[in-house]
Amino acid sequence: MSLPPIREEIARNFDALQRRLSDYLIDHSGEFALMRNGTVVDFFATPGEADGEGWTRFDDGIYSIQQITAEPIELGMYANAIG
Amino acid sequence: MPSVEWRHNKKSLLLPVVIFPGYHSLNPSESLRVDGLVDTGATGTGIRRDLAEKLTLRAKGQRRVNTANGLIWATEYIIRLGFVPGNYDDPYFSPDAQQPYVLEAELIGFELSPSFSYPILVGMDVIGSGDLSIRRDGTARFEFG
Repeated sequence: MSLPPIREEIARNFDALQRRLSDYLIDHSGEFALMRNGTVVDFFATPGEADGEGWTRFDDGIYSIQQITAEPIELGMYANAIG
Repeated sequence: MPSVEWRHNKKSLLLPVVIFPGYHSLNPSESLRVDGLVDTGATGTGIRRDLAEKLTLRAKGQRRVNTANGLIWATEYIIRLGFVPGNYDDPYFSPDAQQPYVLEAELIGFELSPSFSYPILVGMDVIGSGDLSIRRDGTARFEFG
């Protein structure tokens, strides 16, 4: 079964980001990458700015936003909230 | 400074919040008022899948999340979060009749399992934007803005 286009795009972009994460962490740690087709379009200070640029630039809505971080989200005592 | 005052049950802290889709969505004015579970041990804020579906949020990314079963990859959404200021313990206070105060910064919310007991998990990205106090008399206050 194939993924919806946006899910496929998110997965592709996430994989691409992980491959180059160590490079991006040097200059863009904590920033938000707007991504399309496995490529970083640009980096932004906030997720809202990245989303605004993606919304303006890509009429089909097929893009993703990934924070430049190696840290997973920690859930404290509610670690079983998902998964 | 605007604030929310409410009562807690000495077991958990459920903060009344209003959730909106991001500005760049097809329905930025949609909103839902829910009680979010405050978790000072959580670094981010989560939104349960059924709530994301009700707001027709569109997936924007994914993130690794540390769970009891190990690392998983959770879908992320862009949301706006707000509060209806007032004293929820006051019988004359009607949050439905008030305009919410929406935090300036849009948030990335990760997707919670449909089995999670609360629609929103309020993490430190939100808690840290205000002043939270919990009192032994069963009242709590969150100041923001």
